[in-house]
Amino acid sequence: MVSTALATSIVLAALALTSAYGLDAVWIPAGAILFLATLWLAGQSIKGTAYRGWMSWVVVGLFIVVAVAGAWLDLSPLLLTIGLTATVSAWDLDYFARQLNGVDRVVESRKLTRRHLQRLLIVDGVGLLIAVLALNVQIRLSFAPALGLGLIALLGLIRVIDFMRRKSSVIGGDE
Amino acid sequence: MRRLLWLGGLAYVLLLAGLAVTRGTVLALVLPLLIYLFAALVRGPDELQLRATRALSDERVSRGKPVTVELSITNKGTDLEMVRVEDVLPDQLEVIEGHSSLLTSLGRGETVTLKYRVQGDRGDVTLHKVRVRASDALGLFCREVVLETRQRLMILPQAMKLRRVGIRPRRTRAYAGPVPARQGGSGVEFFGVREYQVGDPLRWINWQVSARHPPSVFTNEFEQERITDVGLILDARHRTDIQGPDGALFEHAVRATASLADAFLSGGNRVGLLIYGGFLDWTFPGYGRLQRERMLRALAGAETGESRVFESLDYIPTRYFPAKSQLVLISPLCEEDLPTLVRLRARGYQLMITSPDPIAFEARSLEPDAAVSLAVRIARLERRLLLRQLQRAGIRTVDWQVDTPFDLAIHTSLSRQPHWFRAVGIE
Repeated sequence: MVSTALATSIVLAALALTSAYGLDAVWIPAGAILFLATLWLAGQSIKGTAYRGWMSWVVVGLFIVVAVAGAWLDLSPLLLTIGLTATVSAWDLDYFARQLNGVDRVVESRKLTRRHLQRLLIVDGVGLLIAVLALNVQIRLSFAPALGLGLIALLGLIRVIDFMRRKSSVIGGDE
Repeated sequence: MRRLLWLGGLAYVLLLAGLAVTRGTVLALVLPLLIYLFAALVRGPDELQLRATRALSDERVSRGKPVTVELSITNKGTDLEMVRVEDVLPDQLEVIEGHSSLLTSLGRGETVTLKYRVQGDRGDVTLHKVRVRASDALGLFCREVVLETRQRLMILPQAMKLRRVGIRPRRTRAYAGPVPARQGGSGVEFFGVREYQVGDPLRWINWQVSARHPPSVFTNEFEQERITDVGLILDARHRTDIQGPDGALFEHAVRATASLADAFLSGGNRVGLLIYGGFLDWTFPGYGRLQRERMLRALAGAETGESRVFESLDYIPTRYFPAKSQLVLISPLCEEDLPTLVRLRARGYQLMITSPDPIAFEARSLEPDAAVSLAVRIARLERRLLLRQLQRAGIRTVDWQVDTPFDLAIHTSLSRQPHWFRAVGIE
C-alpha cells in the first residue's frame, strides 16, 4: 500500500512539474524532472536503505528548486503547487516506508499505514486548499511591509525553534 | 541532516525569498510545507512515560541452548502514534526466532510485547537497554528514551563428561574418595605387607609371607583412597591465546577446564579455580554441585587479558593452594613458563598440564606452503622439547589437539604405557 502511494506521489509530482514547464515549452527542465523521477522510482526497487534515503533527499531538493524556479518563470502556479505538495508527500512516504522496513516486526501494519495515509491526505488537502486560496487572493506589498513581515517571520522562527527544542528530544527523523 | 530542520529551513528560505522578490506564487508554494510542519507539531509526542519489563525463560543455560526473552512495554502517558521499540542485545547474543524490534502505535495504558528466542556464545551477559523512539505520524518530532531493565544471562561452557582422571597428589584429605592416598589401610589396590595386629580381618592374612617367617603372622595392606585438594589454573593470558577462523583457542581451554572441574568434583574432591590473565579471578575451593555452579559461572565470565604483572606465570599465588596438593594447569604454554612450572613441582605440588596445541590450531588456518610447513615443523619441535623438559621434571602433560575429543586426549595421555613401550622410548 505504501509503495503504491509512494509511486503515485512521485509520478504525480513529476507530471505536475513537467506539465508546468511543458505548457510554456521549457523542455530541458521538463526532461530533467522526468529523468529524476525515473531515477527515484528505480531507486525504490533497491534494497539498500542508505541509498534510498540519499536518493530521496537529492531528488526532493531538486524538485523544490525546480518548483521555485518555475514560480520565478511565472509558470502555472497551480501545477507548481500540486507538484510541490506531491513531492513532499513522496518524501514523507519514502521515509515512512523505510521506517516500516527498518524494523523486524510491525504491529498492525495495515492499520498503521492506513492511519498515516489518511493523515497525509488531510495535510496535503488542507495545504493545497490554502495554497490555492492564497494564489487567488492578491495583496500588493511595498518594500517596508515586506521587510516588517520578514522580521516577524524571523522572530516567529526563533520562537518556533525554541518550541521545537522543548517539544522534541531528538529533532527530526534519523536521516 | 534532520528532516525537521531541513523542512523548516527550506520553508523559511522560501518565505524569505518570496518576501524579498515580492512574489505571491513563491509564498503560496511555502504554504503546503508550513501546513505539513504544523500538522506534525500538533500531533507530536509528549513526555514519554513508559514502563518496561523483561522476562527470560532461563537465567543460566549451556552454550547453544536457546532462551526465550519476553519484553513488555506499557504506555503510562498519552497516546503515541508511532513507537519503535528495540531491545538492545549484546554482541554475544543472536536472535534465532522472533524479532527484537518492532514498530507500533501505543495508546494510553496499552502494552506491547516482544517475544523472541536468542542463543549465544559463552559469557556473562547482561540485557539492560530498551531503546524506545516515539514520533508523530509524519515522523518529524521524535522523542527517544532508553529504558533500563537489567537482566543477567549466564551462558555456561559445556562440560564434557570425562571418565575418571587419575591423579596422585602427595597429600590427601581425611575423607574417603577416589584418589590413592599413598597410605596403607583398607582399600582395593595392594599396598604392602605388615605384621598382623589384633582386629585385622583374617582374610587379609598373607599366608605365603607368614609361612616364610614363622612364628610371625603378616597381613596385606591396601592403599587407602581419599579425596584431595585440586587447584585448577586456567591460563587467560592474552599472549597464549590464538584466534582461529572458528573462534579462539581459549574457548577450548575453558571447555577443558569445565570438564576437568566436573570430573574432579564428581569424585568428591575439593576443587578451586584460578583464572590467571589480566587479573586473578579466584574461586575458593569447595565441594559438590554448588561449587560446580560457582566454577561454571566463573568460567562463563572468563576472558583473556593483558597485564604486565601477570605476563609470566611467576605470580601464581601458591598460598591459595594447600601444600603438596594437585594442581592442574590448562594452558597452551610458552617457553618462558618452563622454570616457573619446574619450581612449582619442586615445591611439592603434583602438577598436571593440559595444553591445547596452539601450533596445530594455528596451522589449520594458514595456507599450506613450503615456508609455513617449515615454520610449523620448527614450532612443533620447540613445543615437543618443552613438553619433554616438563615431563623430565615430573610434570604430567596432556598435549591436546583440539580437534580430537578432550576425553580421548586425556585418557590417551594419562594412561600408563606398557613397559616395553617405555623401554624402547615410545611415549
